[in-house]
Amino acid sequence: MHAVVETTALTKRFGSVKALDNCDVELPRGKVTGLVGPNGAGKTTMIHLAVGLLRPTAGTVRVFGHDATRETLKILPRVGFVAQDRPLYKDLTVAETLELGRRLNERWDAAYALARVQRFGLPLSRKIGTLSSGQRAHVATSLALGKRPELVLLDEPVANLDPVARLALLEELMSVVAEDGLTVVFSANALADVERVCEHVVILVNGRPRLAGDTEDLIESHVVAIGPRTDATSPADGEVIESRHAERQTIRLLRGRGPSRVDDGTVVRPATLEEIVLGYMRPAMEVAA
Amino acid sequence: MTWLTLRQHRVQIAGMLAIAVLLAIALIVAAEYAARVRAELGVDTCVPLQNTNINCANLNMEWQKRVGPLTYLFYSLYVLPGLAASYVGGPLFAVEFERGTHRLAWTQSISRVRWAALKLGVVLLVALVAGSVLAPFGGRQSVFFTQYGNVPSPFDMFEIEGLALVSYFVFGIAAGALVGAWSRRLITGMFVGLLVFGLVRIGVHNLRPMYQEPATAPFPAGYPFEAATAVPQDAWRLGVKGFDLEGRPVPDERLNALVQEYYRLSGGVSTRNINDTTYLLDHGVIRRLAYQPAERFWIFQAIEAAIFTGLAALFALLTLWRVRTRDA
Repeated sequence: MHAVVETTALTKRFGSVKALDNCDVELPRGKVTGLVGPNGAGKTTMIHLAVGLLRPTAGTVRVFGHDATRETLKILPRVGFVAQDRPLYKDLTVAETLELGRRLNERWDAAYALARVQRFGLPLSRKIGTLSSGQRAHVATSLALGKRPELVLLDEPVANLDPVARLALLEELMSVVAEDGLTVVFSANALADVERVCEHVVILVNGRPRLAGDTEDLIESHVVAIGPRTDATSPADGEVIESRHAERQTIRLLRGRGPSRVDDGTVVRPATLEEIVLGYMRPAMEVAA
Repeated sequence: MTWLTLRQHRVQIAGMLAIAVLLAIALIVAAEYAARVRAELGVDTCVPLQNTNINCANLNMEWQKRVGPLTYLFYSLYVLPGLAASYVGGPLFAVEFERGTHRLAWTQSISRVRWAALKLGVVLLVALVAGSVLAPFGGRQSVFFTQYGNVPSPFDMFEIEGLALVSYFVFGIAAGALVGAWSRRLITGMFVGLLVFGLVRIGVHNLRPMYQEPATAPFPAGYPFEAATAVPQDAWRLGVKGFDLEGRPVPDERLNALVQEYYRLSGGVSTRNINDTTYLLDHGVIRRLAYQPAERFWIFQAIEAAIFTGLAALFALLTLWRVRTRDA
């Protein structure tokens, strides 16, 4: 199975700032992938490169096997994209926004888009500018999904939403994925959301991928070991990803099955996705700082 | 996309068209009314008293008082193309960039260039229509350019009628759109767009007398006391130009320097046989009155319109190129 999105030596510079640095990333088909990383890690840049909004400084992005820069129009009809802050035309009504989708896309499922909007009880005659941010998020995703895309790219889809709206949107998206076998890629810095819905995770730090893998594999292959404080090097049975020291304890994220010797009082337990993500993110950020 | 453009910019589009139609009506009515009042007062048929024309000048003032602010209505024709540049052209792309909605538009299934071309095209077309609605009526304002005992030149109304006026509207939109697309800032698009529009207008304005080699008429002896000249009344007067004895133009600076020199040397005393004209002739310079005949009006209009339409096309292409190549 081919990757839906594939980047090769992808580099993007904005002036002197390297937003992406020689990235090789593959995003698998039919899964929900979380693009995770601190602010400025290059998540938005990567998504924008994939939909042809940006041109790479070096390297390539291929989506469905097409070059995202030169063959953007072959990609766009198959991609639903919602940019950060969910831009919509504020003066248009909900109905007119759907009309925009119909007129600007040859692949457009009007009945489906309408049904979605109505399911959330969005009044068709209301102007976008008068909607709450949660309602706007639903309109934006309906516009993206009305294309009946094979790939959905969402840049911080739940940012600035209250917890209820956040959960509603995520669950809704996931049900769509489950029904239609879509590939979804979304960026987030809220780890709880990633943990809740992602089947695959790519961690970006300072423009480089630190870790990529299926969520299940990652959880299976990492443990957290909490033991008495020690500055000793890594235990034999695992690669230490991160060590953090409290006053009396040392908490380690280990790749592997963890130390076999636990008679010194070390407690070993499976790592959560959040711990894994933070464990990879923090050291890389500290190096950069 | 046409639908989206019409929907997005309906206020500006309807505004431009409505202002054009209302102003056109107002211009017709104002000119008709002013001409009627003028005829009723008999300003142009007034016979001056024996040793003064104050009676006729007073009639003219009475006319101006009665038509009042209508006299200034036509000035809006000078202002409107600039307003179109600032309020319609400037925000056209700048607002999209500023609000991030270009990312919405550019990720639907149409190309950026098509998006920009249709958006700009629709608005340019509306500007063309608005300009065309107004274009026939600038010339009717000649009544307001008529001073007592004076025939206005069609060139007096050059910038407020015809092809030139239409091309200003079109160019205004293109200038605002380009600056807005380039800067991605609404304020910059509106103000710098207007500035670019204004500067180009001033530049071309200064070129206009040179569209065709001016015609010349002999400089009357004893000028300005002997006002009768061979320059037609309805011509566009370009002033005094110097020529050498072979008929080649002499730079204005040299002409002015010679005249000043003469007045310094003579102390302002002239006779029929010794005056500035003879002094110039001694230095091999002949003065003539330069002008553009009224018959050239439409040729000049076509040249002016060609310049501004050409610039508009260039600016539109630059806008599309910018949209196509730039990072979002």
